[in-house]
Amino acid sequence: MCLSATSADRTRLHATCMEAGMSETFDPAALAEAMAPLLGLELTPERRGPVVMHLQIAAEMAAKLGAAKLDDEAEPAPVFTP
Amino acid sequence: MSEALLDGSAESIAVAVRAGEISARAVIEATLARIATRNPKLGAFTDVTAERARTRADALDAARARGEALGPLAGAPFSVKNLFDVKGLPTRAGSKINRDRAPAAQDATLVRKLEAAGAILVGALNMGEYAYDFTGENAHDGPSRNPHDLEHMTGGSSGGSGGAVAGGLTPIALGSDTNGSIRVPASFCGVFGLKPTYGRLSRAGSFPFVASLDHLGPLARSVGDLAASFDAMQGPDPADPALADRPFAPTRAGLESGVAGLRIATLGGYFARGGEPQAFAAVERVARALKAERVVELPGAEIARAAAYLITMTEGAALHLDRLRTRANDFDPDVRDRLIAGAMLPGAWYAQAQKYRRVFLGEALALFRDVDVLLAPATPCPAPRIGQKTFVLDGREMLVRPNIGLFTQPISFIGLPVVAAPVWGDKLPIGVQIIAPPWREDLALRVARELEREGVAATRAAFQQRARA
Repeated sequence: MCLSATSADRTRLHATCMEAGMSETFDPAALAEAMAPLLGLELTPERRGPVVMHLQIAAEMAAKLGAAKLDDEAEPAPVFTP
Repeated sequence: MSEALLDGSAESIAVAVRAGEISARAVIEATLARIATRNPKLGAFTDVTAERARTRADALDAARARGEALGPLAGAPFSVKNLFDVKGLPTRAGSKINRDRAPAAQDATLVRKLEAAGAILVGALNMGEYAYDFTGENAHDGPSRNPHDLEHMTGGSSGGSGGAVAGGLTPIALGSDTNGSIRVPASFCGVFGLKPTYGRLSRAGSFPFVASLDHLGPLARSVGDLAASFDAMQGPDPADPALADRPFAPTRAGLESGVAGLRIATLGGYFARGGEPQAFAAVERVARALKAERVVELPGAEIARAAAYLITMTEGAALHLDRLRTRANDFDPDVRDRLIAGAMLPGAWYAQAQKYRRVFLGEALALFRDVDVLLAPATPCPAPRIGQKTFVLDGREMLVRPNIGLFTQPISFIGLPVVAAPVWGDKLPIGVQIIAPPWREDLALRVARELEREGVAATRAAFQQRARA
């Protein structure tokens, strides 16, 4: 079964994105097609479906993260010590 | 050599070796014999370092004969997930690709520290490829199998570590935990696991996955062994840049202090939904035993889990990008396609996720102002069957592989120390997370020890049970 974004998935993503105030125009299949050659990665037919599915899940995660209101001054927690 | 000794703790083996009741060599021979018999069923070991172990055992026995003092883990066998460097072996990290690496020139720091305490390495263990896994399945070496039911997963990615300890092959195994990879196999295999505070134990000489989130720690059949091995592995190491400058914080000596005076609460909200009834029943049983009546919320847990997910995808992809370009067909496809997707994520998502770490840590620290220890499920279900791709949680069919870590990910995201303690259902066990404030492994271990003493959390000898049945 191809695991690329189904219409049900898209509806779910749309709802999640709207809830988080994010763009509902995120298109994981288009992202995968555009990024693969830029990164030098081969998107074979076998890989395309799962990669798109994982981008879809990531976008849902990013929508949840986008719901967190981060202050401009919020700093990450780096460990690099020169 | 008594079978009971092999089914017991590392500490009890060390007591017998120090007292001269048994030689280290005899312990190692019996252990190697057990591995030879049981490992074909369990798929736990990928490498057995038999000659190295015999040499080391003979050296220990000779030291004892000379009247030298032996370490706290003298003669106790241990094993390590195969992402730890073991001198003379290529560090495969569950992959096919890494087998082309040169053999490791020296042991990982934690291997050296455990051996300095007298423990004896007997081999390296199966794991999910490059640690991007919660199942313990491996496309190249075959799955590690749950000793309590061979048709079920060990959990991962430290699958061989769970299998080796639960299966009675070694009393202690080391694993790594980025999002739950010690706590998940501890839960599925019914053993104790300790994920220490981020930055507590050196990761030097281990193959990385997500530098921001990687932890190393022990799995064991007793809480005493967790504490003893944890104490032996602490200490400075300039070779791990994330290692915190912390004083030695012994846990073994105070392990029997009990829980009187500790403020213990159960995590509600996110941690009380999205799992099967057994997961929550185990937490309730533990809370009852500890007389922990409070339920508290850790705000932002779902966002924390999302942030951990994105950091993992992005850093994991960055680590493997060149291998994805040149050797894509040599990856496990399930791992490869998640990594490829990770390479494509917008950078802003990653930066926001890193910022959220600090926000969420603030929430946890606020909670710890009036609570000492938190309880939560380790996994949403007991071990699924090997090969199972989906499960139903809260009425929604979800992928097994990325979702087993629902409850572990928010906790490791901010590096809190956790002991996973096994609670038994009708057939298979499930773990409960005992979560403490940063740098307070001692509290989590004390609570786990109390549950072990009360018989609420326990390991069971898998093969013995089957033989009696």
